[in-house]
Amino acid sequence: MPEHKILFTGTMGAGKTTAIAAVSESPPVRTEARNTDTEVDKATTTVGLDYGELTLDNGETLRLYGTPGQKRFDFMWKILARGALGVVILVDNSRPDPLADLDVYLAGFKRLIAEAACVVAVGRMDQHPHPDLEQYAAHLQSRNVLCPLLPIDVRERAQVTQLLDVLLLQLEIKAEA
Amino acid sequence: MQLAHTASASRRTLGFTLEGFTGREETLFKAFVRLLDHRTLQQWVYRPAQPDLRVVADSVAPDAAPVSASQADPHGPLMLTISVAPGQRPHCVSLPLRADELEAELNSLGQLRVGAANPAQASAMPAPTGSFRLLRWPPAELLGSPERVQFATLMVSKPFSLAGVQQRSGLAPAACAQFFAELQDARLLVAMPSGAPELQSASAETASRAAVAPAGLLARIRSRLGLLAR
Repeated sequence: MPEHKILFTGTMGAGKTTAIAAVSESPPVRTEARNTDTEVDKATTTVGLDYGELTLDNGETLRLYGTPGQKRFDFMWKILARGALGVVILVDNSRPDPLADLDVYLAGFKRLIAEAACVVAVGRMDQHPHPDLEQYAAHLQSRNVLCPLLPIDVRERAQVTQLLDVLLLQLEIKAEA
Repeated sequence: MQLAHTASASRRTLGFTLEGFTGREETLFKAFVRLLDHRTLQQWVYRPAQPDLRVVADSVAPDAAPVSASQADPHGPLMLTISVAPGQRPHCVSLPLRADELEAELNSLGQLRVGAANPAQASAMPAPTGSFRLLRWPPAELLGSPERVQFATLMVSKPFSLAGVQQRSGLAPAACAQFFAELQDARLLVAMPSGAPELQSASAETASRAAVAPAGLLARIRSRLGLLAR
């Protein structure tokens, strides 16, 4: 049975686990451990990956992977990216330098972004409005990345679904070419 | 870059006034208009002096022809009737107010107003021709609805002509043309060289990767997520 997968990546605390839980048909499998990074107010963090899935009507499975957030696990990113349909980059706007965070994932998933589809979603903008979406758009342009850019509350299933909607739409257009 | 502009190339600020309402009703209506501001094609502000639109309670003008003012004087104010009873009259919304109905009427009347103000421009300016690509993701103020997000996503993926993106998106031609014009005004579109294929692949590598997605897979994912097919 063929495997299809979509990745959720982003910094620790950006909401990858929550986003997958919002759309997965079963509670995601989480590989978490005690967080030792004192910069982040989070008791546990994903050290391996998150995994959720959706069973399609022909019996195939769409696998949803949340990558480990920290850059020291970037060896996992390439493994997960192989054969993926696309990637959702979740950015936490409450962090000290979210644009620099974004750069890490743009570089880490450069090939997947160029070859497949990508969406950048910025969270916690209600309480941390800067940088705003305009700055993100300019930043992406400066990195020669053109992809949908949306605010997100990963607790809202409809918003997570919208991310996947625009990801799929990009793939459909590319497939039509 | 040579870009043709449609008549409604920019979002205009239009004024409305209220007649025959209680203070509470006026407050409610203004609040509705403010809430819809990110969705309406034109920006509507309360402006009792020289309004573009008279919003009238039907107790004041129960039999008034809704656009009679405009018919008599193309530059006079249009009229929107707020009725206590549902009816089939044009440019009339019934109470209690529904956001979707009010949005549709404001957009319809706004287009009428803009068109009346620029008749020569409207007829002289052709629709954009050729294919365009998006330079960057549009500002949030241009993306007021899920439909516009989808429109922009299409243009992220490939260069499109206005006709092409209308066909692919399934959106109303007027809504597509409006958004296209706003993107042009914001200098977010760049014309592709003539002769370039409309659906030009970003790279051979991209095309080959996209082909990996088996036929029907994307539709099945959409179905599972409860998303309508595009």
